[in-house]
Amino acid sequence: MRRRVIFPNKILPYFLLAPQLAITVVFFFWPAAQAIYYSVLLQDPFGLRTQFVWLENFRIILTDPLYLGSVQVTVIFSTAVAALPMGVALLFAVMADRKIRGVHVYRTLLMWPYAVAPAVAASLWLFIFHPDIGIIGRWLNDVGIHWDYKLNGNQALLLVILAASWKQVSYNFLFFLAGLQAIPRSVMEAASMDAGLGRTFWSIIFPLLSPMTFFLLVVNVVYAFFDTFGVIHALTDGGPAKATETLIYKVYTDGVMNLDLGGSSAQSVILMVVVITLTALQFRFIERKVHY
Amino acid sequence: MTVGERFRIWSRRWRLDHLTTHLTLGFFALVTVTPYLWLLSTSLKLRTEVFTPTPKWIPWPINFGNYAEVFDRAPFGIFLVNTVLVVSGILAAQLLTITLAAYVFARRKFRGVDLLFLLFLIQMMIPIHATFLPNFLTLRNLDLLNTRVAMMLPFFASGYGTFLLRQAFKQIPRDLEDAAVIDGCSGLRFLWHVLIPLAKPTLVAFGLISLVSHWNDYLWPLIVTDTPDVRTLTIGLGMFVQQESGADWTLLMAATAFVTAPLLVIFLVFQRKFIESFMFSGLKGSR
Repeated sequence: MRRRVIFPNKILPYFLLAPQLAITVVFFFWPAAQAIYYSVLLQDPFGLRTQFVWLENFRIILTDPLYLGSVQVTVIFSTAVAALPMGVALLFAVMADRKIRGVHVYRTLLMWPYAVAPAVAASLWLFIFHPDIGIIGRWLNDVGIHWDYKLNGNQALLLVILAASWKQVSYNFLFFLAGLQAIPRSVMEAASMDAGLGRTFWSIIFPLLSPMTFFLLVVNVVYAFFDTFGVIHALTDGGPAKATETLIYKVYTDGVMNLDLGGSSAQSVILMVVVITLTALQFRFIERKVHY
Repeated sequence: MTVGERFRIWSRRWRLDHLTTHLTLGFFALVTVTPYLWLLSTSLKLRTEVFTPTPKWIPWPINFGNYAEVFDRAPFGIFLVNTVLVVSGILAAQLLTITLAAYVFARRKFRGVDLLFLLFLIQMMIPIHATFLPNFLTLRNLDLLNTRVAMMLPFFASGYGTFLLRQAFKQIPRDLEDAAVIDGCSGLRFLWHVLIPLAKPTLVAFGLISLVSHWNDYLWPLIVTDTPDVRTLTIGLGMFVQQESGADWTLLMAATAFVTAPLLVIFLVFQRKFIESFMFSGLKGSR
C-alpha cells in the first residue's frame, strides 16, 4: 500500500474552513468590534478629528429624547407584533386542532404570507387602508373616524403593527398547531372529562404549550426588531414626526442617511446586546428541545 | 331514541366537529388570501374602475396594460434579473462554504476545532442586521457600494447553515465512512459521493430558507445600493409604494403582483418541502 502524504491532510481542514472563516471575520466579528470602537469615539463636525470619549456617546443617546422616543415606539411596536399574531394564531390553532381531511390545503394557504416580502405586505395594507381609496380607509372616514395615517402618528403606528402582524400570524399558527398535535390525545381527553373547555385550556394545554409560546415570543420579537424594516420604510418612512421610528430605523437614519458614526454605532451596540440576549434565550430553548 | 341521542349520531355521521374546524380554517385561509385576490383583481382593472361604490371583484374588460405600463415606469425587468442573480449567487456560495465547513466540523479532528466552532456559534447569534452599519462602512472602504456583489458578500457564509449541516453529517454512521475508506473513497470524495447525497433534505431545507429570506430582504439591499440598475425587486416595489401619492393604484397593484409571482410559483411547486423546512428549521425565524 502506498503511504499517504500526511502534510496536506493536516492543513486541509483549515483550508476548507478558510472561505467561511474569512467572510465570518470580515462581516461579523470585524463589524461588531468596529461598532464598539466607533461607539467610544466622537468626531468633530468637520470630520477632521476624532476623540476618544469613553461612554459619552451612550450618555448622549440615552438622554436624547428622540432616542428614548424611538425606544418607546419599539417597545409598543414589538409588544404588539409579538402578542397580536400569537393571540390570534393560538385561538385558531386550538379551534383547528383536529385530524381532518385537506389540512395541507389550509396549510399551504396559511403559510403563504410568511413567504411574502415586507414590501408586498406594505403595498397591500396601503391599498386597503389608504384614506382616499382603500376599502377600509374610506369606510373609517365615512363612519366619522378621521383616518389619515400620514398625519396621525398613532394611526401610522397602528397601521405598521397590523401590516407586520398579519405577515406573522400564519407562522405562529402552524407552530401552535404542531405543538397542540404533539400533546397526546389521552391527556386532552382525560382533561376534558373532568373540566370544562376553559379550564382544560388554561391548566393543561397552555402549560404544555409554554415552551412553544416562549420560542415564538422570541422569534416574533426578533422579527419585530429587524425584519419589519421594509414594512415601515415603504409605508410610513418612520413618520409622521418619527411616530413609527423603531430602533433599527433610527440606526438607519442616523448612520446611513446622516452619517453620525459615533451615535449610530453606540445605538448599534445597544441593538446587538439586545439581540444577542434574545438569541441566547432562544438557543437555550432549542438546546433543550434537541437533547431532551 | 331521544332527540339528544339522535343529534349525537347525526352529528357524528356528518362530522359536525370537523365542520367547525373546516369553517375556522376556511375563514382564516380566506382572510389570508383575500388581499391577494383583491390585488390581482385591481391589477387587471382600468384606472376608472378602481373607485366603484361597491367593490368590484371581477375586472371586466380584463386589462393587462397595467403590467406593460409598470415596466415603462420602473425597470422591473432589471430588478428581477438583479434579484435572481443576487439570490442564486448567495445560495451557490453558501452551499459551497457551509458544506466544506460542516464537513470539517463533523468529520475531522484538528487543532483548534472547538474554538473555531465556537466562533461559528457566536456568528449564529449575531443577526447581520445588528451590524449593518459597520458592514456598510466596510463595503464603502472596499469601494463596492452600489454593486450586486455588495448585496451578496456578507451572506456568503452562514453559521446557521454550517450548524444545520454539521448535525446532518454527524448523524451519518461512522461505519459507513470506514466502509467507504476501505473501498478507496475517502476525504473529499467521501463528502461528495456519500455525505452530500445523504444530507440532501437538510441542504434543500436550508436552500429554501435562504432563497426566501434573501428574495425578501429589504434593509441590506436598500443601504448598499442607490441606482435602479443594481437594485432588487423588493426595493423597487418599496420605492413604488413610497411615491404612491399619484394614486396609480392599478400600476402599484400590478407591480406588487409581479414581485410576488415568482416566489408564489416556487412556493406552490415546493409547497410540501417549504412547510417542512419552515417547521424543521423555523427555529431560526426568517434568516
